[in-house]
Amino acid sequence: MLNIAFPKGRLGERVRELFSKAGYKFEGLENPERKLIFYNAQNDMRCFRVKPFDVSVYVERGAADIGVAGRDILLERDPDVYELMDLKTGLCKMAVAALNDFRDDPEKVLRVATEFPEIAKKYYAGLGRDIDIIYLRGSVEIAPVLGLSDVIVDIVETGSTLKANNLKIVSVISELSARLIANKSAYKFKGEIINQIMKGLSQVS
Amino acid sequence: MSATFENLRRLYKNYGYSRYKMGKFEEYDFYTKNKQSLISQGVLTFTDVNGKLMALKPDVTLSIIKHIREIEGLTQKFFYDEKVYRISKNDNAFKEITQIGIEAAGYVNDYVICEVLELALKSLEIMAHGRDYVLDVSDLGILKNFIPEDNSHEILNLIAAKNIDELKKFPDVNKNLIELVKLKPDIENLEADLKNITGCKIESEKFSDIINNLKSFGRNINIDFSTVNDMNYYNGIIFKGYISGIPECVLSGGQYDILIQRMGYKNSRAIGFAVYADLLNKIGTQENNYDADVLIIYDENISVSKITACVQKYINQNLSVCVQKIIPDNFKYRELVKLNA
Repeated sequence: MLNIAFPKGRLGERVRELFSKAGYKFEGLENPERKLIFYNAQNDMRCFRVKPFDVSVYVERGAADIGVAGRDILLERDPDVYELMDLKTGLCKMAVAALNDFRDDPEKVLRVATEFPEIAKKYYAGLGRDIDIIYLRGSVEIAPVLGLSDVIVDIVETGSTLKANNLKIVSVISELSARLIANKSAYKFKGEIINQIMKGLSQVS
Repeated sequence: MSATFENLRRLYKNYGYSRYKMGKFEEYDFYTKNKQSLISQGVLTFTDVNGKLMALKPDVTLSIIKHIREIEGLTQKFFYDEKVYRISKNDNAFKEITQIGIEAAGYVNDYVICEVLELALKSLEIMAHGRDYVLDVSDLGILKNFIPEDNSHEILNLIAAKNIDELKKFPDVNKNLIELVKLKPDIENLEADLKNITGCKIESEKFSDIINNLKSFGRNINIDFSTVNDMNYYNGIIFKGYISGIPECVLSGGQYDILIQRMGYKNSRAIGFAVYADLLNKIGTQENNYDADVLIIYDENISVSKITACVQKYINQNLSVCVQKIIPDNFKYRELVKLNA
């Protein structure tokens, strides 16, 4: 049996549609309610819905053979998995944003609020910039408004949240999208069916 | 589990590898000198009674290599079964890891490389206990020609993740590198396929020759150029072994000529591998499902000889027995026997 980890939430809905179009439907997945595991008996598969941040954990540890995770989570967690395919959905950016009138003073340590500390550290290390990371678990946009941080490193989809809070993009770190990932060991032994899924997905994504 | 280890040790002995038994500690100074050659970043240190800074071994290879003798034409063959101490990536804390492996150093030619690959495959077979297993093989000698100097670290990470979509975004990544990473794993037309992609005849021939000698292992050998490893340590052929049902690689190794030469053995080459034996615990076995086959609960008034006789009866049937006055919490048994007076 092939085990597949899907992210919960909006991205999960898009991924479900994509798999469905590629011919892989899971019974009851359109109306999951409280259920977490769904079967596709025809292809001997089952999928389960987990928090987007946890998909890579399930795959890296082999509880799922494959999964769909945002590139943001892969950059942040750096799991030892195969990143087999860009599904070209869930498109957004990892960006640095600040208040509209922000001026970067290079003499000061930059205070960075983010949900993605590893991505932020790596990006500023590349620039040789000293930073102070402020790790938040959400509503990061509020940090510069309240003076908690100078900038934020966060996912930007349409930019409307930034706009509503008088923020602007200062620089783009990376383009993001959903990726099909696979456990390295599982890919050795279930490669045939995984490649078949990839072929199906490439025709609809 | 111990039977598996015993079988591995016997395998290496049968091929003329002698056991290398080493102390638990090494002077810390040794690792600072060879920092570049260390796979693990952290070293667990302590001060010994003379005030000297010592380290618990994070690695076995370096300690073996430093003791070899360089004699022309001689291949020195060792195997080891040791505990090492490394930082685990998952929880960023030191972990004790059991490592079993072999090293062949000194005179290393194609034969020696084939022998080590064969031993890697046979080790996997022993550990797999009838499950599927596979040895991924790659050649850094071929791969390195295609890796641009800029961003090499990032590019190697993308290769290891088979991340073709991101690799394509690098302007200086050659399309042949992508073809190499996508290469079919089977070894039927390896030489021709490789020559077409790489254009390098000599390297392709050399690699294919070695692989051809292992044809009898069939689909257990997987050519996979996404198999990469630290280029400060390894050169030439590298490989990683996987067993169905274990989510991580259980065996890893390769040629490390650069390392041995950096340690002063200018005319030597070396190849070896390590088995991550602790991972074998991830395959659930039937025998671990019970604390004991039989749990015997006895009444206060029963004679010692009766209890002993009952225990002996089950022991003679080759079953494990636990005698208790009461049933312990969370104790799992196949059969419960109550002895009443």
